[in-house]
Amino acid sequence: MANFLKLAWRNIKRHRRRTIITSSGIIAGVAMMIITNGLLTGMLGQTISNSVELETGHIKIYPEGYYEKSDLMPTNMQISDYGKVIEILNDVDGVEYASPRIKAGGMLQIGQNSAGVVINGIDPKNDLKIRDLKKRIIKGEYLVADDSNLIIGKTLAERLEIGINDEVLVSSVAADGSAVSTTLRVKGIFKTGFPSYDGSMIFTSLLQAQNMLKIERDNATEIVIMVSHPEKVKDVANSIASKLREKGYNYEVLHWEQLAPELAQFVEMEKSMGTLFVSIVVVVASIGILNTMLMAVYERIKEIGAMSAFGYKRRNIMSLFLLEGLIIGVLGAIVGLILGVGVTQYFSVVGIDFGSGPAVVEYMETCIYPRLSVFDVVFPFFFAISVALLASLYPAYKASRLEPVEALRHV
Amino acid sequence: MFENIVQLNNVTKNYSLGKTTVKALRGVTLEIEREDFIAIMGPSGCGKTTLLNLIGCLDTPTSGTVLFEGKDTSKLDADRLADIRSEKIGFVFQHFDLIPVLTAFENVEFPLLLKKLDKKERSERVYYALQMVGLSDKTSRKPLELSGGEQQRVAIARALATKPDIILADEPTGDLDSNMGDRIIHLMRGLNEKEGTTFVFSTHDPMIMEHASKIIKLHDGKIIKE
Repeated sequence: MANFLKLAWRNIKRHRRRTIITSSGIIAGVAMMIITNGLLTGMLGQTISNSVELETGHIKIYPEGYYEKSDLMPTNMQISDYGKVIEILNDVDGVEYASPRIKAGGMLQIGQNSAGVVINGIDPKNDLKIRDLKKRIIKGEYLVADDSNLIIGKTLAERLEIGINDEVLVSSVAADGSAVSTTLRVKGIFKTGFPSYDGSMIFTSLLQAQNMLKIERDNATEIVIMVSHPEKVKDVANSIASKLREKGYNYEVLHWEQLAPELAQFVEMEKSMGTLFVSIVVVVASIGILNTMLMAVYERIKEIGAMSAFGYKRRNIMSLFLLEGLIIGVLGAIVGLILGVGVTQYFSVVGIDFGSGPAVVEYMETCIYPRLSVFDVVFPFFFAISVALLASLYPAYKASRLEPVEALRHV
Repeated sequence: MFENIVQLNNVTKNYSLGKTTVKALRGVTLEIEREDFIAIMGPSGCGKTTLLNLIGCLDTPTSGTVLFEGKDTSKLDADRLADIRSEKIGFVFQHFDLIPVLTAFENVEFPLLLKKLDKKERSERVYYALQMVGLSDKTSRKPLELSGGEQQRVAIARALATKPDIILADEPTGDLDSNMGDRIIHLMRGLNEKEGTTFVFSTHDPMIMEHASKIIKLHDGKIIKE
């Protein structure tokens, strides 16, 4: 085998330029595959983490039947005594934080201007562990416990020309079905960078929201949970659901993929599109290998004849040519891997700014920081090698089927 | 042990070249005994190489039988024929057919890799064979760095190193000057006498014919004189 490897290696070196050109297809394929994977993983990671942080959390608990109507944000469907529920949640393995929230649709008005908004009642201190709006405040201040003031997004503030300390009228439908409106003072303006979020989300304390929407002191419309190991979110969600059932609570437990199905779908689609696209590149590159190996077989017909004459069997000849294809594949894959990982690492620091086009999905940022998982690197590497081996199969078979006499007679 | 290493009985061999059929051999009967030193002569195209290919188990006849140590070669599969070639037969091709990426040493070693020899024994055999053909100082040269004659000698050393029962050589002295040709023939004759190796040559070289124990004249695919 060692001698065969030596022979294969020298045969490859025999046509150095041809080997380099052939490998370059594999190099480009593997590098592109890794870079694309890095971009996708980075983009999806950022998008998911934005969505999780700003909206869904890892897991949400809703009152029974709420999810179906969650677009309407009904305030009459509530989680009673959320404190007790959170106590139960804290006992579940993998739960890191849990925080109650109230959400309601409403209207914000200042002077002649008004806009539809989502009213969020939060526990300012606890919510920070999940959604750090404090660091996103660009003017004024963040909320304190039981705050009766409001923070609003930059886009909304600009559109309605609202400044710090301005008083605005917030209207909504209370839990009892009555129309309510309250005047609140704007204490801070935040910026997440996502126009629809900054243009519609307003935040006040849980207590203020309860008062305004006529919700009892111990009640909320949802509980948001962060888990310590996001990859195990489904298991944690299952544990929570069974624990709650055990304690007699009939709440809905949903993880982020269920809460943002369009995002989960987008993740799946992007991944399969990416894999398909780069697989095509690698397959095209393998045609180069097929061509090179066929040429190599043709050039060495007499040598193949001599090998048979010495008693080398068909399988020996086939292995030699497969080995040569394999070496080209491995070389290309190694260089492609180094190139791909190098480029990805560089952009993971400086980021790639795709400009300010409209976001395809919510919470997608325009500046992507590529990131690589082990699979992102390992898959292209072995995929390229397998394809190279597959492309050498036919030429190697052809070489092994040459009749010794015909081969020796070849000019 | 069979006295006849190879026996051909009324052997014909046809090749198709496009639509025409070339009758390369037309009923050849021949016995090659152990320790023979046979020269096959004849004009080019008379079927010498075809005959060598059949004797060397590289090909099987269209009709008739070729018995190698009593075994009918047309009844053996490709792997068995390869085993016979590896164990019993040495070839010296007309165009040497050295592997260009391997050195002289590695070329001679190449057929030995199929034998179960340790590295030391293999090296010894290779050096010995190269020494016999007078190339012990050029073992690390690649074929393109050797003259035509030197390449031919590497090809001869390659056939000798495996210590085969029979060596088939197609015009082995064609590319050698008369001095070296003479040396090689003496070397082969010595091996033939000392080791009992059987030799079959196709040749035009009168020197080989001088040493031959048997001369076969081939014309138009038939033996005209034995």
